[in-house]
Amino acid sequence: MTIEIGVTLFRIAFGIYLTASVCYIAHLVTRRSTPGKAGTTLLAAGLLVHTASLAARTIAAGRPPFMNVYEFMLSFTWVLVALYLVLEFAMKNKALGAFNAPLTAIFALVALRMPSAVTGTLPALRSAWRVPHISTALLAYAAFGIAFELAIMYLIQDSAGRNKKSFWSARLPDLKATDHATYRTITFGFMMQTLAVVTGAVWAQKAWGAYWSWDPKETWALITWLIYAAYLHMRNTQRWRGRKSAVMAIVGFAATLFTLFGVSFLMRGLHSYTR
Amino acid sequence: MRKKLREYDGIEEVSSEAKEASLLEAVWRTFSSMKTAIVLLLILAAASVAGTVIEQNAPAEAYDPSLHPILKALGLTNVYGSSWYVLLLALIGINLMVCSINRFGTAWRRTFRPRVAAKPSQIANMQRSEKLASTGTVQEAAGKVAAALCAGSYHVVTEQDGSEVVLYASKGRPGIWGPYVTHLSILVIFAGAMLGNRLGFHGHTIIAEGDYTDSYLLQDNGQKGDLGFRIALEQFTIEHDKERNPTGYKSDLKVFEGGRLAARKVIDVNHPLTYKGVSFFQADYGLSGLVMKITGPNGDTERFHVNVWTQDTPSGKQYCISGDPWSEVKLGGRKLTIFVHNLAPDYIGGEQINASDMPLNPAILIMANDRFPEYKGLDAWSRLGWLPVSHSAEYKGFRITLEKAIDYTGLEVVRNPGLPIIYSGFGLMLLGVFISFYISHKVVRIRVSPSKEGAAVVAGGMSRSDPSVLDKDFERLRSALA
Repeated sequence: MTIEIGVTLFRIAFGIYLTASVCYIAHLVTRRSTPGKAGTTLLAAGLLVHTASLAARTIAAGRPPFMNVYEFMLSFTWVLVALYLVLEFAMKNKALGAFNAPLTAIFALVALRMPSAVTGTLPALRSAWRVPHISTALLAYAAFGIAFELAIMYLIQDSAGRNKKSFWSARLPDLKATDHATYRTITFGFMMQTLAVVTGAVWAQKAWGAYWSWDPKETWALITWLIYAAYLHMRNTQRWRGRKSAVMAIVGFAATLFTLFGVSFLMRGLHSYTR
Repeated sequence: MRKKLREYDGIEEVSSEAKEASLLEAVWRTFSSMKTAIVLLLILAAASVAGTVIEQNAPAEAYDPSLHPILKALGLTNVYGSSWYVLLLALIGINLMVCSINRFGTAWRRTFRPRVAAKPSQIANMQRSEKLASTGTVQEAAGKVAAALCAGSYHVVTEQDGSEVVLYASKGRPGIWGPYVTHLSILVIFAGAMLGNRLGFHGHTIIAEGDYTDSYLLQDNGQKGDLGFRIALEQFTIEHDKERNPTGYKSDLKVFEGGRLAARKVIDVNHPLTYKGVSFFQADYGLSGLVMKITGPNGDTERFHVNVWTQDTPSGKQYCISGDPWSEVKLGGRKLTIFVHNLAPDYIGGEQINASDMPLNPAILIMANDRFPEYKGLDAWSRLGWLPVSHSAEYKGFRITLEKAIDYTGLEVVRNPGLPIIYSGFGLMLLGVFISFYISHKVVRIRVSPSKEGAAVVAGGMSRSDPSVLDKDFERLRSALA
């Protein structure tokens, strides 16, 4: 019963996010503040409903919602919205909402198509390390997702050129602000990703006696970490800020998506070069 | 020829006046370059991808026969253990060390002995720069400025330069060391990993209930290793919920050394037993065997052991009798042959027979015959039905009981002396990353010179993070001089 309540609440939140997306896009296009304010209010309201859905899920399952794909995406979309709202407050600019709200809605839609039954906890997963490991991973991947959106925004603005009167130039925040926001978001994500990899390694050592086995999930988490490490080195010392950094942030998110979903859905059957 | 590191208060440029670029210098220069670091990181990422899309360490049959020789020759069947991958890691290690050594001196000076004096043009070139004016003497203005900076938690150094006063204020100096700590942590992790690989081992062992072992088999080559002590399994239990989902795999282990009980622990998947640096992890389980008890018509009893083979398949564990499925006993002048026809691990009867593939309620389907092998006709065999543990069946005066089912536990046996080093590396890495991004080194340079109104102040600020954090400091300077 509680499971259905949780799923319904998530559906409502999804609907609110979808409406918020329309408002944010309207705000971006028309440059009027009213749709912008509506967007933020709706997003905040949706987050409240979403929180209730998370709570219902936790009660129904008797544990935090980190166990299967549905739960993970339920939590992931929550962090995506929460982090965005923090950023919107810090940047004092709602342009990113037109990118984040729709992306969140897409992820929520995918999540709602996943089986929502509560799965039992396998003995291997019964560990105090589960919550820190998965929650830091969630924070990292959501941060990388937002950095991806900022990078897209940057490239659009950059392509629009110096022409201050072009459609995009008049609507998107200036390049420096976007670039800096991308950097700050990625440093947060990188810190979280480091924590996720480290807690994962310590947990693996406790469970299997091997802190690193080069299995696809672990390796892809490392690959993601390496790409963002390259990004940070590019920025801090090479002065490769701007366009090149934005591209790297996008590549990093592609790796993030593969780590999250590609490994689970593709790697089991995908063994290239095998018969 | 020494490298010259020109410093614009936090923004470094490595320049070298190469009068003669010898090979060694060229190599050093390459390894001290940030570009090299970025390239190496990306190559490592790409190389790591290879190991996730190509089947690793599988027998030759798992690969496409035309590609296998190429893959093997290139080391792609064992990417992470191949010599070129290790070489890549070594290059990164060298790159880290050279970069750190090169920049260490500058970092040290900036932390402990910064150059206080700065030309007005240099100050003007900093991230933020402002010209302020104040009435009063140079000393008064310098004092106000210093106080304002101290109020902002800066560490202020003042120097007299003729009639002018120069100030150097810094904050968040640990932030300078963040990258060094992070890079050191990577080297520490490498060292720990190498030490663990050299001095440690990873193996496995199987112990049946009531049995013990003194050794293990190495994972890499299957060779036997000696533990130096004895480990015994009292009992193996699978805990489960109402829907028969496993919630715990528990092995009650006892360690004996010198004939005495040295340690005892009931281990589970996330809770291993460690004794003298060797850890035992719950990894696998199965049915090892069954004990049958036959009570003859005269009251005599005989027991025999039936071996069981447990196999992992995609659809779960499967159990079968290994060796001869029949046993003959002679009691009270009569003989009896028992044939174990089938084995069910989790017997619930009915059409389904098994509730799961876990040995929660083992049962055997037996047939009995007192005329075998003299009479080979099938009609001599009597089906006695399914016998779970502790259940009996009667046959022509005999009582046949399945007395015991013996589980076994599969344990990972691991020794890793590098573990404390690796954990230290992890800790250092987290510390380094935090310091690098959340402790921001800020520098404010000020030159106060005499002017018509009293004092002219040129102030410049630099911050590793967003320069807007300097706004408050400049605001304080402005109000101090107003």
